[in-house]
Amino acid sequence: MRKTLTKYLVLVLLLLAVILLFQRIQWIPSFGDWFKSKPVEIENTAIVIKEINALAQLITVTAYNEVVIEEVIKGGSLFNNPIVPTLLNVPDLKYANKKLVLVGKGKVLAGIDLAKLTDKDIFVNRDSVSMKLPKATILQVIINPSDYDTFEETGSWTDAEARVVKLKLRDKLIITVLRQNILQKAAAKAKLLMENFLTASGFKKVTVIITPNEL
Amino acid sequence: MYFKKYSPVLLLCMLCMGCNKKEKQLQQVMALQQMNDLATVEYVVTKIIKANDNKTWYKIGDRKILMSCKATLTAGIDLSAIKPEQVNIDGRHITLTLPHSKMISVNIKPEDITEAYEAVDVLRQSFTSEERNGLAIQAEQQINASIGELGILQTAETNAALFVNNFLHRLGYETIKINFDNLATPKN
Repeated sequence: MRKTLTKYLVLVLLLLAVILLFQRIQWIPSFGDWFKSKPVEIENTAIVIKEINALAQLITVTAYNEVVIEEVIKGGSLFNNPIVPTLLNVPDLKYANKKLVLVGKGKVLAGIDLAKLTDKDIFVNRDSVSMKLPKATILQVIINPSDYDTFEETGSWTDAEARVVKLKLRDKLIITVLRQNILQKAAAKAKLLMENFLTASGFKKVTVIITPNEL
Repeated sequence: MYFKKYSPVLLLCMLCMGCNKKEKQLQQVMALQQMNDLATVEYVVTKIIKANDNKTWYKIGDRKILMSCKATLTAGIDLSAIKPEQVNIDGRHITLTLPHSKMISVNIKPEDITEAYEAVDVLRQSFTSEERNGLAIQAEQQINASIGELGILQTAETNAALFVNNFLHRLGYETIKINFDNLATPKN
């Protein structure tokens, strides 16, 4: 009796080992995969070029940062008219609150827009050059879809509602990097870069001034 | 006795069930990085995000979504790659060798991703914000993969040559010759 039982036990174990081995070498799907949701994949649609714009932006500093934003939308009343609960003598029932917590890893590019440079900003006299560069600005704020991490999401968030949260997160990122004096650093670096470029272009006396940023 | 006899079987089972978790490498970035890039071109591209969630066998009913996505791609040249020996000055004549162009950024702003259509069957839940973002990530990957076919790097070089030419002309140079570094290859 004991021998038969052991035989069956070994057979079951062997079968299990074979199944697990086949799953490991991916000949058969794992048990978990049978009830796993298939990922939603997008179709490979065409990419259409809408605009081509010429730029002349001197990017001198990139600031990386990670910011968190929490947004709660309080659930409204189940009744359209606030008098209804009083009239029916029932409590004012409300929908559940919606909460979205996002973590965003973004980067901010700062520098100078050289397209704003006019003829009167450049003064050349033999081997001397004097240049007044426009003020340093934030040129790009980049938080792409892959840079967001949804930490918590409760309730049904519409596309427009979620977008508002992402825009708030972007504003928070800008405020954070501005505290790191990114514009001052970008201006200083642009000045140095332009001085080096003008020196390399054959000028002996180089003067570069940058329009200061308003505080 | 039995344990000893069948211990290889047990060992095989244990090996098969053994975990194979890989530790993720920590991403390290500097908070502030100095750059020397001259962005010379911006491409604005659009893409339709089309997805249908009907591939899971036990989920009854369909749900599909259509979103539009706009991305801004920026390319330019790295000015720090210009070495003194790449500038040749002879009076009012200058010959300058610029580095090849490179991609500077791909920017998909939140306001540039909008849902155009969503159809969800009664037994299904509508797309969550995280799921919609997941679809946008796939679109971002497809845009990144197609950068080479858009011709942005060539346009960036043309614009860079034009800008530097105009700039040097303003500085008083009469003959300006701009080449691109043949040794370096364009990088995406």
